[in-house]
Order: sequence, then structure tokens, then C-alpha cells
Amino acid sequence: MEINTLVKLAGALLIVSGSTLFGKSVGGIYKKRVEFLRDFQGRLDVLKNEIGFMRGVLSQCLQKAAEYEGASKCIFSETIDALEAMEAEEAWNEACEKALCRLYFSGEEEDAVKSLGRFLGASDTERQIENIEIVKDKISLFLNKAEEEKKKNEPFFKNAAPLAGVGIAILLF
Amino acid sequence: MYRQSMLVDFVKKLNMSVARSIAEREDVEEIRIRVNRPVTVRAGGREYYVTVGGTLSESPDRCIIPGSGEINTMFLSINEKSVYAYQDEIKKGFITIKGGHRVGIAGKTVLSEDGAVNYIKEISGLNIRAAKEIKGCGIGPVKHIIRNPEDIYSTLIVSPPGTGKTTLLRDLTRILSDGTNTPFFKGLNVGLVDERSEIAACYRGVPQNDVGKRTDVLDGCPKVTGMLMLLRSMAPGIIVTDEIGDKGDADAVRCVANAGVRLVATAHGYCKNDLTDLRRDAKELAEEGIFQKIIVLDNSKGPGTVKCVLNGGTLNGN
Repeated sequence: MEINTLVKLAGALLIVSGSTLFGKSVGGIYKKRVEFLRDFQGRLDVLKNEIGFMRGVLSQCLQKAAEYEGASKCIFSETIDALEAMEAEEAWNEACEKALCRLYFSGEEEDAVKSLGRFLGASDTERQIENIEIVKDKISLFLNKAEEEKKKNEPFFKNAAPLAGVGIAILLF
Repeated sequence: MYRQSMLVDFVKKLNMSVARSIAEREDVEEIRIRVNRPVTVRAGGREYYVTVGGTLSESPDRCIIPGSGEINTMFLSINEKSVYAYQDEIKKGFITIKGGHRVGIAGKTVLSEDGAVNYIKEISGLNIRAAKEIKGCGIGPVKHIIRNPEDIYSTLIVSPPGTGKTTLLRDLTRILSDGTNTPFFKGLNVGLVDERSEIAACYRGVPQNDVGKRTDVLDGCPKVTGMLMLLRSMAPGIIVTDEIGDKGDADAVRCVANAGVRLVATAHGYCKNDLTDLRRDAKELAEEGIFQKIIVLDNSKGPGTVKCVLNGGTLNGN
């Protein structure tokens, strides 16, 4: 086999594997968004229970919500760390900024997650619960949307990207 | 010392420069912080202003004058950025902090439909009162209460406000729980209903005052509910509560007495040689003999001075 052919084959292999990786990573974003929103919803339930029933102070309630591993754990744990030095809203927003930038959320989705911080700790139990419920409802809508998008786009990117890579490789061969 | 350091830590958290000066003296009674007025510290019976440098001065020159923003930040720090967690305390007008110290809150009250205070907003003043626990003040009076090494007389402590009823009750709770040698008493399980968080001063469920090793505390619980709850759930030998006054309290006390559990309680009242100025329901309990001893206090030799001890039922002195 000529060296020229070998180089072409190696190049084709690179294009196909690169496009496969690209497809996986873009498809993975849809998966991660769903995982994040589902995990976040679960933690909101924990937070609601801790605030409404246990009435612990905010850092304790956030600690409970951050107790298990999952996609949105970092928001809760980073808020706890920042709470010592700043107000709850500021701490929550800062933690959201860090976590959400990796997930390519839409502005609306970001606002929904951030909106929890607006009243966090700053009102009576009833208002805290109401606020958490409102955020949960919003998240639920976005979760449905994200699940649909995942169903539609994840297989597309995962399957189409390697095929596109093969196509490009054939064209260049 | 522990209490003092808790107070200093707390004041540090509020970003107040006075923390260093407070750490240097142990006679601090209260720190008053009011919007647009000088911060004052009462220590050793005298009032001082806090200077910008954090020292205490009798002159108001160069003193700290906080604005409403600063007071609100302090308020949020006091309630650990969790208004909901302290909403019941805020309704009562004070928050108990670590070390048993108490922060009184003044501001604009928000009323519910039935006229009860629902919240305090626009905080205009905070009064940090240092907790004082006088251990040993119950050693004298306890001899009137102990019947034998394993039993006590149900006792009512009567006095006008500000004469040390609660201070004495706290120390009696400790002694009756731990036991004592003079006279010998082995110590019993004590159930403490601390409706106003004044006796044990619990912070996150932990009593900040020494109320004895055999004491279970129901913190912030209404007296009537608390006495019956303890009776059913904790099998106490003695139930302790502060300031009984109305019919509901009296009925709960009868219930406890019928269950064979001893009671130590306080009531507001003035007394010369009888109990004429005691509230009706408390007086009835004394006359019925449910309280077998009535300890009357006055302030003649400082808080907790025993003026006389009466026997329940007959209401004769001994």
C-alpha cells in the first residue's frame, strides 16, 4: 500500500472519529440538560421539605439538598460556600452562573433557575414554599421541552454526525 | 467565659468594631443599635457610646451611627439569612442566639387579620442582651422544696416582675435534675416547658443555660400543650414551667398533679403574709394544695431573695 493511501486512510479515520465525537458531545448536551433539570426538580422537593417542615436555617436546608451526587448539586453546594460572605440572592446567582454556562440553557431556562434566589431565605415559610412551587412548575415545563428536544436531537446528532464524517471522508478520498 | 466569647463572635459577625472592646470586659449587659442614633453599650451599670475606633466612651463624639441599611444587614445576619426559620421568634420580638444571648427587635409590625403580630419589618432597633446565669442562687431555696432524697414538694415561686423568679427557677431546675448533697437529693428526670425560651435559652435545640443533666426541654412550646406532651412522652418526675396564670394553665397543672408528677412553677404576685395579690387561678392551685410549698421572693437583698415560704392548702408560713 502506498504511503499516500495510508495518509488518506488515516485522515478519513480522523474525520470520522472527530465527527462522531462532535455528534456525541452535542447530543450529550441535550441529555445533560434533561438530567440537570430532573435532578434540580428533585432537590427543590428536598429544599421545600427542609424549609417548610424542618424549618432549618438556609445553609442547613441547602446542605440537605446538596447531600447526594447529581447534575445540579454544585449550585447548592457553591451557594452554601458563598453564603458566608454575601446575601443569599447574590450567592445563588453566582453559583448559577458557574453551573449553567456549561449547559447552553436558553435565557428563559436560566431565569427560571436563578429566580429561586430572589426570595431565598428572605420571607416567611409560606412565601418560601410558594416561591419554590413556582420555580418547580417552570422547571417542569422546561423539562418537558428538554425531553422532547432530547428525543428529537440526541439520536440525530449521534447518528448523523458519524455519517456526515464518512461522507466528507469519501468526498475527500 | 464561653458565653462571653459567643457574644464577641456574634458582634464580630455583625461587622461591629466594638467586638474587641467587648472581649476585654465581662460585665457587658446590653448593646443597643438604633437607626441614625449612636450605638450604646451598657456595662457595669453604666452606659457607653461606641466610637468609630471601636472603643467605649462616655462622650458621644465620633461615635458609630448606623443607617437603616446597616441595621437590616445586621438583622439578616442575626436570623442567618433565613427569615422563615426565625419567623416565630420575630413575631415574639426577640431572637435567641448562641450562648443564650437575646436580640430584641423593634420596627414596623405587620399585623395579621386577627390583629396578631405577623412580622416586624423596617427594623429600626436591635437590643443585644447578654445572658446572665446565676448558678447557685437556688442552693438556699431548694431546701424548702426537697421532701426526701427521692421526692420534692410541688412548688410555686411567687414574686413581682424583676425579682429573679426565672433566674431562681433555672437554677432550681439544674439542682433538681443533677441532685444535691445539702440536703441530699438524688436528682430526678425533669421536663422543662420553656414557652418563652428564657429558662434553657435553646439555640438550635441545645440548651445554652445549664438546666441539669436529666432535663428534657420543650422549647417555645405553649405551657398547656407542653406539660401534657411531656407527661405522656417523657415520663418526668418533675415538670418545670414559667409564669402560670390562666385557667388553661391551672387545668394542665391539675392534670400533671393527678398523674403524680411534681411541679415547680412561677407566678406573678405580690405578697405580704398571704397570697391576696396572686392571680386567681394560681391562688386556687395554692389553696387546693396542688402546690405544697409557695416560695415568695422579693428584691431586698438582690434578685432571688426568699421573703417567706408558705405551705399550700393552709397557706401558713413556716
